[in-house]
Amino acid sequence: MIWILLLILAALAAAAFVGGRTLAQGRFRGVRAHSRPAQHGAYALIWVAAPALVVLMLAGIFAAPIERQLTAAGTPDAVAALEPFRREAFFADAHRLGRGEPALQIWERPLAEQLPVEARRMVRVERTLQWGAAVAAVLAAIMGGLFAFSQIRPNVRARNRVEGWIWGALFVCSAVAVLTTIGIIASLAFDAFRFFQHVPVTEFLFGTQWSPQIAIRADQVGSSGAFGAVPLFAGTLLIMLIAMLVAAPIGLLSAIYLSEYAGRTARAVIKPVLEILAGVPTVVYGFFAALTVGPALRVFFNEIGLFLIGGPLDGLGQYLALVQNQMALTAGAVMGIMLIPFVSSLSDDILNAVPQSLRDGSFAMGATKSETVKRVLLPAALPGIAGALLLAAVSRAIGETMIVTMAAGLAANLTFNPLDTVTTVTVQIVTLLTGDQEFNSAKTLSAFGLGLTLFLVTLMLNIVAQRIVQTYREQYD
Amino acid sequence: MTDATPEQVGAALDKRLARLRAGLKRRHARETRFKLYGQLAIGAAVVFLVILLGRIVEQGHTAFYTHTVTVPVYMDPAQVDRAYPQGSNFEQMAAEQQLARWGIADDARGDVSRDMRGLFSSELKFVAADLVARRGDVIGETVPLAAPLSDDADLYLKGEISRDVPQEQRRLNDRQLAWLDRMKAEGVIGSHFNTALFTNGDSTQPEIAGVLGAVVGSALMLMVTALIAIPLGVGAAVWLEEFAPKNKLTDIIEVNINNLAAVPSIVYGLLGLALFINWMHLPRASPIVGGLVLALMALPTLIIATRSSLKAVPPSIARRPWRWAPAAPRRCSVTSCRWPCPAS
Repeated sequence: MIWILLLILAALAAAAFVGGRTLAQGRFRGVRAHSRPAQHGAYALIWVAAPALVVLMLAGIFAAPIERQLTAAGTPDAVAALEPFRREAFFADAHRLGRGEPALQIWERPLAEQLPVEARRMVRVERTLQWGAAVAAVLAAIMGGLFAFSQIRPNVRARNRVEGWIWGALFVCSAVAVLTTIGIIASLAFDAFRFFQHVPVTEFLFGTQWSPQIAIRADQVGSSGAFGAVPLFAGTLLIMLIAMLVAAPIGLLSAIYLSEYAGRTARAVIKPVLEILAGVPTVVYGFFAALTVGPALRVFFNEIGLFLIGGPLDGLGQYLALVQNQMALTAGAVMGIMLIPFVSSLSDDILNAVPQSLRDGSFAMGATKSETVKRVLLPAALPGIAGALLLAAVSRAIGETMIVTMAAGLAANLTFNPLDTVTTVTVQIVTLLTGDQEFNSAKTLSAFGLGLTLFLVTLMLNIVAQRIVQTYREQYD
Repeated sequence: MTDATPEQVGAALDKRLARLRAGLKRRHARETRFKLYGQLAIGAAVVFLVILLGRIVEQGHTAFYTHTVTVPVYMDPAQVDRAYPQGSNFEQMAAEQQLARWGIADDARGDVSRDMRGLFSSELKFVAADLVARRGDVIGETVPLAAPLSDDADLYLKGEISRDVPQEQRRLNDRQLAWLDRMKAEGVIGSHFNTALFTNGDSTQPEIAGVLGAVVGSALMLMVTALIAIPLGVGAAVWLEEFAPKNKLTDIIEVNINNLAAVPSIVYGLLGLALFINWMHLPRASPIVGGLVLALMALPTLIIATRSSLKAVPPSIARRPWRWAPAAPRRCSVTSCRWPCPAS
């Protein structure tokens, strides 16, 4: 249906182009016209295609809510009396039946008879909406075309108008970025607001208990659920710190070596090799962490623990012997490996931006290369490097999802011990939202509260980092 | 004014020189050390990469070949129904007949035959049922059936299950391992390239699981992403490079794109969940939803990359239309000069 419609519209647009051009050729014979006939053709084409596409886009966005409104309006009493999630299931089954697929559930007496009736009604509503949208689109195309044809006059500046349309279309492309931001903020804020109606903001931000499992029955143990996110923030911070401890020295030192010491050939070999690390998908890093690094670290610490048991450090030995795979160190170390190429290439860029005259001056004073790096380059480049680390590495580490989901734990422990299991904001969002869930429980909505916090923190880090890099760049421009 | 003898002066100079030499030596040692740190850092990164890739290959390469067992099965007319072949327990039949051929008696609880059955993949049942459904005349005859080994048996033959591990801690018992060795000696087990890995969808049975479903899903999703992200991203980059007026709005858009590039992917996931699934009620887990979200996520990076390519076109080429025809629409600069230029 949609493809046939698009084909019809494409044919209309092509016809408008040819028609507009021929019409213009006829009308402009012997007259000095502002725009060429083909430009009038293009103008007609735009006026056929654009209104129709706008109508279709609006239909795509608003069809589902309208359809829901219409079906809800005529719901029979037996269905309306159902609990919300059963009603959803009933409508889903009616939908399936309407498409000719078998229903998923067996419904009891009054509903079983309603099901085919509702299915037919839904198909009718859907058909009506589809036909309505199609007719509206074609009408919009025709009216647009007629308007464009009426504009084919020698004094009309079709060329400039086409240029204007192209300007507008490209501007809309750029505006999508702004709309995405608005969409992110709106959707996160809306659902987070619903969450904060259940749980006060202060409890969420400062509470130290996190156990989002809300029991189905009120008398079950732990039925209340606790939404204090401090353990998650602490876990995220801990893993991020470990990752930075791995990535920052290795990345920075390799950047210094690459930009100051390595020859042309060494650079040409080493740089792409480091880039491979950046190209590895994070899920592969997660696999690596969960199956290789985790067990290896556990065995390492367990062996040390077994060695220490019975000695003067018996307590420490007992602890180390029971360390688990999912310790914060595993996820942090692997995330650090992932971040090495980012840190290194960003630092490399900034070191290269330091003017050569500074290096030459230092060498002229008899300084060695390492003295130049430590006393001249690093002081000059450090603000930029700090900004780059904040920009790329920290916000990446905070938002990284796959590695921590596979390698970090689920238990929300409030600790800064790298050998304990901790959980992060992203892991919790993933666990809260995978699988089926209903959208009116505090448990599901808490994911949006976490998401909003994550978004705001990364946004702030990013703004600060960009400002640092900006001021630093201006110094040498 | 002291009167220093030439000897005294020479001694002082020597001392000074010695101090300088020692200092220089120390400085050079520091220089070597610093260079070594850099080399160690790069070495560490390369070692990580090698370990990472090495472990992936080491753990993953055995998935590319698999083992098939070929057993003769007598299609007992008492147990196989032509009209309903799926109802017969072919695995049990094959296991019992295999035991009978080797002269091993089943015990009262059927543990022995259950162990034997555990060596065959449940795929055997579908191979047999398919054969009966296609050719009813095989009932009452003995036919060779080829089916994958079960995942545990396959792992043993690949050396992943060791006999050194105590029997209670491994997935196959001693009896089963002995049978596998015997089958291998009889030559009924063949090893071959695992084509099923590329032609099957996912499955709860590892021996017949494949990646085809996931690959098709990824391809569909990528198609949607490319169809949406590339036109939008290129359009936005062209607007920002060529058309955008220098004003507050343009600044906002530029800052915004840079910020979006740093938003974590999981936040885009939340956006998709709230907007496309919760509000627009698009079907869950469909390529269109995934593709839309991925397109939004890829957009900022795409815009930034396209802009830097457009910037790389030298102005002498990009601005040429104005020199030739100052009144030419700006669009001409984009369509006829920037795009055809190899740098973009």
